[in-house]
Amino acid sequence: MPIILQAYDDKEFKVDKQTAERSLVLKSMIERAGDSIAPIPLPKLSSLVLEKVIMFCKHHKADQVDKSKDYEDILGPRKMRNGLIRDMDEWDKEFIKVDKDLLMDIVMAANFLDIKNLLDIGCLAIAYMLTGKTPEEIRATFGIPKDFAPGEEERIEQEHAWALRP
Amino acid sequence: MVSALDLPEIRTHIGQYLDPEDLTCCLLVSREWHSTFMPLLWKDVRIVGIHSVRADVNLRKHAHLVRSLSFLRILSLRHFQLVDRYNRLECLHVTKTDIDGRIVWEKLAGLVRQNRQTLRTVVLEDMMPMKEFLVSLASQDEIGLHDNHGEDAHKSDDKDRRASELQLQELAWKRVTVYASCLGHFWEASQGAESLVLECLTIKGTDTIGGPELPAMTPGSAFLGNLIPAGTTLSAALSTVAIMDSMNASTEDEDEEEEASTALSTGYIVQRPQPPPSFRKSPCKIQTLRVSWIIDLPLDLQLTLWIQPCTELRSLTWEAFTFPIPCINRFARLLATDTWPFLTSVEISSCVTYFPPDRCLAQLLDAGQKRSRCFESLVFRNVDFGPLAFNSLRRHFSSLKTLKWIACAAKVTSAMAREPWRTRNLWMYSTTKEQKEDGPADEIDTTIKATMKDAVMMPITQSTTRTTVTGTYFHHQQILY
Repeated sequence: MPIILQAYDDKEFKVDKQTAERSLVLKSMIERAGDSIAPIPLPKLSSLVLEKVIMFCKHHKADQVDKSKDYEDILGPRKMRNGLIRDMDEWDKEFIKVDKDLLMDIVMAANFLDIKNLLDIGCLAIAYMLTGKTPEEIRATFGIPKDFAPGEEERIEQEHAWALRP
Repeated sequence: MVSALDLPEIRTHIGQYLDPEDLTCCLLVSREWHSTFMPLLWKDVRIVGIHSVRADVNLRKHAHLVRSLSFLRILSLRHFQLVDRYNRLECLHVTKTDIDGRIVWEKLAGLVRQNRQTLRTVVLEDMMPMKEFLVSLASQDEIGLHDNHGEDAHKSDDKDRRASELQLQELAWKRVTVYASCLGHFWEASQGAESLVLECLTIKGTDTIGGPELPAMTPGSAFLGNLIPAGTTLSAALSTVAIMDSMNASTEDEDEEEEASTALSTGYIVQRPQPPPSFRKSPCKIQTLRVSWIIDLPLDLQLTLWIQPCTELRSLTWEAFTFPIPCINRFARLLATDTWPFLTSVEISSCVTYFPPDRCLAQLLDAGQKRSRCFESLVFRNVDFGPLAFNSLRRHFSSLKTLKWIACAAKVTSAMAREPWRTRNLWMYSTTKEQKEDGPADEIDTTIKATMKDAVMMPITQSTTRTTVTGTYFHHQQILY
């Protein structure tokens, strides 16, 4: 029986159960509702994002293993940086090549729907965008206001001079 | 609209993929980001080489954030101060720190004491630990035992003590030198860990104390009971009986073999005054034990001091340069009497292919039959596994899940290798001529083919059946071409 997901612009998406169950949130909803499941409204998700998310879940619906575990085994949590995108699955790599705003929305959706693998590759992609940038560049890219008190930034910078790039 | 980067949990998730340089840049983005990335940056601190005063001022300011602290090839810990500020450590890793001796060990001991409740992993490499440090690692600290004389005091203290009990999940000693006189403390420090690794240890001083005037060479059961390590009061003696002698004796006839194997063939340890009461109380929690390539401690003593007391043992890996027959016999006897009621996984590795001999392995496997629990995993590396042992192994097929022969192809025939396939619950299995670390796949593949010259295609009974060759996985179709 297909599950119907509604994006906030009322567009409906029909997905099969296995696909929907990649999301742990939807999985528990389906389990609770049993066979007579009503359309699930997802007011936080635009149809564009939902489409992407469904695309991901459909592709990975038969996955048995937890991919993120594999990444960690191969690379180690801290060694990700250089091999980041390269070591992702080809399909995932293509999938996550989206603009910054859509990426943010996908990560939000993955977090909200509890889709571990999608959250992992999304965060990896964001991490990749962050690497090699100065604090000023990060603020500019993601539109974050600088809210340090006068002198605070200098103090932090001094304390972490050992870790800063020369 | 809330952006993904506004959520601290997502920032934390991203942060785990960043290296210190980028984490530092993230710190400087905004106050919110600062609070998210600080714990990530300071979580894992590695001090390499020289630790300066300035670095320490900075480090101790963030000591409460440190979860894993590593001292790698450190020259001096003189500037490492305010040990008491570190109280959430989960992991401590030290390599090569015996330059300014006592200071290092006092500080490290302080760190362990300070983090008794959180510390889970301790790895120590290339060093000679001092007694102070060993005492701090003991699951019951001597400090907590000072008013332990009255029975009532003991009871009321019990709760506090349990709270401060060190609960190590993993403890590894690698390339560490220990004096025989410290072995008691060493064991006391080690037995509280769930998983213990003893790798390439050098035991010094076993042959300097005592002499032939010490008690007779055939220790009865009472004597063996006294062999439990005993701290500073322990002294070790090496008998004049050479390994080869006792081995020759044991091969001559059955009776003599029995006698020779009861005796500790190469050395024994006598404890003089009674050990402090705490020794009997702290239980041995070791479930996974690896005893590998111990230098200057005879196998008998390895068995008596380290392997025998581990009554909770689940998995044992024993690697040694050679396995004298009497020792293996004693091991088999201990197995048969259910010394280790929970043991299900055994790995035996040797340096010389003809030890332990086929006959002894057979004995070992027969002994395994008499136990209340069956073997689930058996690994034989570079041992003389032959038809006798195989005969005994057959009776374990029904319970075995993992079976490996590594580098013992001399007597393991293709017919033998084929037989375990028929038992359906076996899911890991291999037979290789040589151990190849991370070698190219086809190279290992060829080795297997060479080993199993006349292997024929087998019906594949279970899709999960696979073969492991030192960490490399193959589907077994590849092997049985």
